Amino acid sequence: MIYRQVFDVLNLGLVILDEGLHVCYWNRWMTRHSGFDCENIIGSPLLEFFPDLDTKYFNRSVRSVFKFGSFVFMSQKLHKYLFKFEKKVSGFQHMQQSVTMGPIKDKDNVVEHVFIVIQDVTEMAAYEKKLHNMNIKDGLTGVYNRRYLETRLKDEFDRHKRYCHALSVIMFDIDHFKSINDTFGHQYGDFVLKEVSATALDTLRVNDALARYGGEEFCCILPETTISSAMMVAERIRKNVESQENRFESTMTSAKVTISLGVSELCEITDTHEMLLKKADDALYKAKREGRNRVVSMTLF
Amino acid sequence: MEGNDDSTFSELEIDTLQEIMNIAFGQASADLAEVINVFIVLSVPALRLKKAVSLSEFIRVEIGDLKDFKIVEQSYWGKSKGVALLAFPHEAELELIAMFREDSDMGIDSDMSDELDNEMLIEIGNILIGACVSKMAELLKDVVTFVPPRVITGEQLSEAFVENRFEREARVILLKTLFQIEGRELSGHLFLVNSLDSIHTLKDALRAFWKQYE
Repeated sequence: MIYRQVFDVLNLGLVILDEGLHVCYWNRWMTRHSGFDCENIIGSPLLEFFPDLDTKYFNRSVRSVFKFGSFVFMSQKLHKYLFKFEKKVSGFQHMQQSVTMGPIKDKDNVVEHVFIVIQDVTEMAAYEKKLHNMNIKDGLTGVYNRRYLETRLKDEFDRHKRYCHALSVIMFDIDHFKSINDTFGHQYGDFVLKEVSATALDTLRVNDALARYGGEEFCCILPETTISSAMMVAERIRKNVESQENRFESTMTSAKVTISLGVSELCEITDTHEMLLKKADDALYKAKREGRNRVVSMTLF
Repeated sequence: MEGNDDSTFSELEIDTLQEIMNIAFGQASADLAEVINVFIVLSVPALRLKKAVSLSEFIRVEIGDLKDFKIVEQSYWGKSKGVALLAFPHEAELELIAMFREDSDMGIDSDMSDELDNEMLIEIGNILIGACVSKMAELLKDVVTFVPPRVITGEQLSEAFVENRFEREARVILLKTLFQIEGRELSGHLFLVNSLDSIHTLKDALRAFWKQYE
């Protein structure tokens, strides 16, 4: 094929398949990243070499190109990659790919082949991920920041309105944090913030969200959780912080660290997400007033 | 065939075009059922000749309050250029995404769920638009290529949107249809806007189509 001279120097993967998904063309970029020579793969069914591709999505996409003669644009954000090629860049294990599939028609306008163009977008995806994380995470503790918390809480609130699922939040802060800072220094204070947030994070489920609300105050969003379950989670966090004393030993010093927690659940009379936070905050201050190192809930007002 | 005026369409030409769309959408919905296991009912398409400048206002009137709508927008090129707009009300958008997600095999990163919802909507829109436009092109013996679609909000459908694609005073063919997913309370609007840059080519294609039945 005369165009091979061009296709083989492209910094893109190019694959051509027939309707039985046999490989008709495999450019050098594909050989470089897959390790399969074109001499070996051409003429063979693609799925024999890449069994992972036998997914609903891939089959549907190829079928739609043959059926409609239309194009498929496969987004990296949604699918990460089509061909599983190893490439370790900033947290990614595999090459991130943006993929386009389209028809190759004969002179009678019949789709005889489908082409697949693969673009390596790993570096771009890594930058995007880094920027995204900087935008939603707290630089010191690595948990979510307040901006993310507010957006997420509003989304969860809207979801609650639509599906009537339970929604609870926990607000907590570190007892006598000012005194820890004043006594042991800000560096140790930062260390305590990191360890408390890591302890809370270890206690929460994957779908819960933990955010630094400000200073030494944190907030957990617990979707689909009633107040009684949220109280149990809060109590577990409190106990874990109180009991894991060795977690707060640093090379500098060690202090006894405890936290106070306030819990609230969204109910019919809390009609805004701000009110839900306010209730948890009121409960937190009640816990402080009642002697700290405890969990207090606010239900109906 | 009547309609020798080169700058506009005769009634017969409009009827023929409407009939072509009707057949195309019928075929598209049958093929979509096979490819995505979902039966989509496309209503009989209505055809209008409009000035580009009046498009967004026309769509606004047709749909109603655009505030709660998301629109998948995709440009295509064949013998003439066009843009497809697939508009979903918010509730339908969420149900459509949930329906396709069930049928896919992907994990979702909750940090980016909004953005991923848009990506999912783009993929769904690409399939629906691709099916309808390709079938239409096939009947008109045309070959179309598409650019990747994008999602805009109803509020972004402004005059600027039109100006970027067509001359303000240029005439366009606007085709609208209502689509509905069978067995679900889920519907949206599909608008296809085609430029009349190559009206002669379209007239020739219509003539060729008509000849099959003479």
